[in-house]
Amino acid sequence: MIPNLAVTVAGIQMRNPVMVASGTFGYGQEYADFVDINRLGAIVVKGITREPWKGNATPRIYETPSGMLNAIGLQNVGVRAFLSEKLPYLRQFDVPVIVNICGKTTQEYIDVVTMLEGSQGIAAVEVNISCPNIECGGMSFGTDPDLAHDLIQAVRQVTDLPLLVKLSPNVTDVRQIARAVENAGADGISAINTLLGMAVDIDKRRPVLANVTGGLSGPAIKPVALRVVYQVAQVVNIPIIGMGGIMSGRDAFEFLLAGASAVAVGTANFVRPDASLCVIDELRQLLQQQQVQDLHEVIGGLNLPEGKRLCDI
Amino acid sequence: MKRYDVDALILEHRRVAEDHYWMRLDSDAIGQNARPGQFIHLQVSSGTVPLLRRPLTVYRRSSGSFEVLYQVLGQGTRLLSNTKPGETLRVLGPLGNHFRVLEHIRTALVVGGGAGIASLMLLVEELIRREIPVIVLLGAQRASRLVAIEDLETLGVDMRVATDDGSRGHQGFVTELAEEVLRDGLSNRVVYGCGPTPMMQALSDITQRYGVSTQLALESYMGCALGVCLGCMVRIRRNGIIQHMRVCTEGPIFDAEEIVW
Repeated sequence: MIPNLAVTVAGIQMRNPVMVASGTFGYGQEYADFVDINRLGAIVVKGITREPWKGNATPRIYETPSGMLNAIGLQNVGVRAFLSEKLPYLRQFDVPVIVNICGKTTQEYIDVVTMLEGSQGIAAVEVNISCPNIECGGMSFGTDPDLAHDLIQAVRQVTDLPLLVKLSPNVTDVRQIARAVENAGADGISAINTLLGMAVDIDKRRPVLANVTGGLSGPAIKPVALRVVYQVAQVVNIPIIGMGGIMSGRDAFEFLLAGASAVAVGTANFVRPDASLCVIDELRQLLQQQQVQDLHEVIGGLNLPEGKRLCDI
Repeated sequence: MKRYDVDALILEHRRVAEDHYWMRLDSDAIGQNARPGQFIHLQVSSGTVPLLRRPLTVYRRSSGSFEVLYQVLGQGTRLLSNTKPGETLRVLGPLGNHFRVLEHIRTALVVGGGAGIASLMLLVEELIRREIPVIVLLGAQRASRLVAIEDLETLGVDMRVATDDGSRGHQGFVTELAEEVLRDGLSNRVVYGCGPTPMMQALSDITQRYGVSTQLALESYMGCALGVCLGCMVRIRRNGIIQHMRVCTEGPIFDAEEIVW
């Protein structure tokens, strides 16, 4: 029997739980040669800001063991060009489009959301409060529970679209941030964004990245991402979209057990353009092998060792 | 243009010079479609180290296969050099823009530094096919690192060689040979180049001084090679504005005068 993979997360109806993560799938068109977009659970588009952003100086990426560092700096076309040039292409597909947004100030976030509001073909907004590569805004909102709360509350007031909040792992206790954004009206949590990292060139005696530091992604961060998803799942009642180093259906399965209701494939899209489809197919096979009839049977279905409680983690 | 992501069988693979390897892979999709200067993105490991693919230019092509010629520079190319005929590699391509051969070109000067000649071989073949006189200048640190010489000799092109240590041809930089050729001031010619960044920058300085139109194939670290990750940017001055452009999609070929080094 073929397991049912359909899931509704934060009001977003998906045919399967596998999304493509922001910044790793462009605006969809770039991958159309390789991916039947209608097979995806959802698309999260590259982060959008109120004005076009030029991004950081180069070098911007660097490969590390089982991962990569990036310091792109949210280069993007801006919300106006997104609405007029990118979104129309995505409307032809029967797939929820989630728009990732970022800003330097609360007002910038509000302005972007206001401009998205009322556009056809947007299923949800993912508020990025965790980009490590921009000077102000971005991650600074995501590392302080009060700032995170106030930002999400302000955005909540200007939109009825489902709000996902993308959390940073670069904090002492991610549970505090998760609770704060839930209290402010978030409908779901995306976890995790990249881990702040760095690489050094010994010949030049310089940092490799022009931005000095960058965000680490890829399989190297999967254990951290699983831990964060697990921790957050213990303290919030809103669904979690798990991401961080997912390369296979097995990886996706791990995130679902840890408490994620859906997952996103990110850096793997750079390695295999059809990585998201491979994850979907393999996840279906694994669930079938384990005689799971419906995805919901495994979400948060982790068996903890006896005597292990939340305070132990 | 349609791009493919396919499993390609290694048909032949051998060392051709110090630290340089040549490989022929079975792929109709790439073999049929690759144009001069285009590249492929090659997965060198089925594991996660190294995680990302490696961009390699298409050296030559035929209807059923294509060739790459590369220098071992790091972990990825080292692993690649250990692969054997009969193994399969995942190949994405053909990618990027291509060298342009305009109708009015009377002569072409092709300048390759080290493994950079690999980006230029399909172009040399096209120039010959279109009966455009071509001079190929080839540079390397030393004779043991020169590649593509025999293939160029087979084509019968006018070829001149420079090595840093003088172990073959002119002792000095290949850019010095370029300046020698350009000094005669013939009109309607174009320069094509690929090599290490300092060489291309020097070439660009010389050809701009002589007012000769020049196309260069740039190299960059790459993530996706599909225009999504925005990791491979180069600064380009176009219409008076300096902007970041993607080597993988807007490039790898750029006009030398537009490149902000």
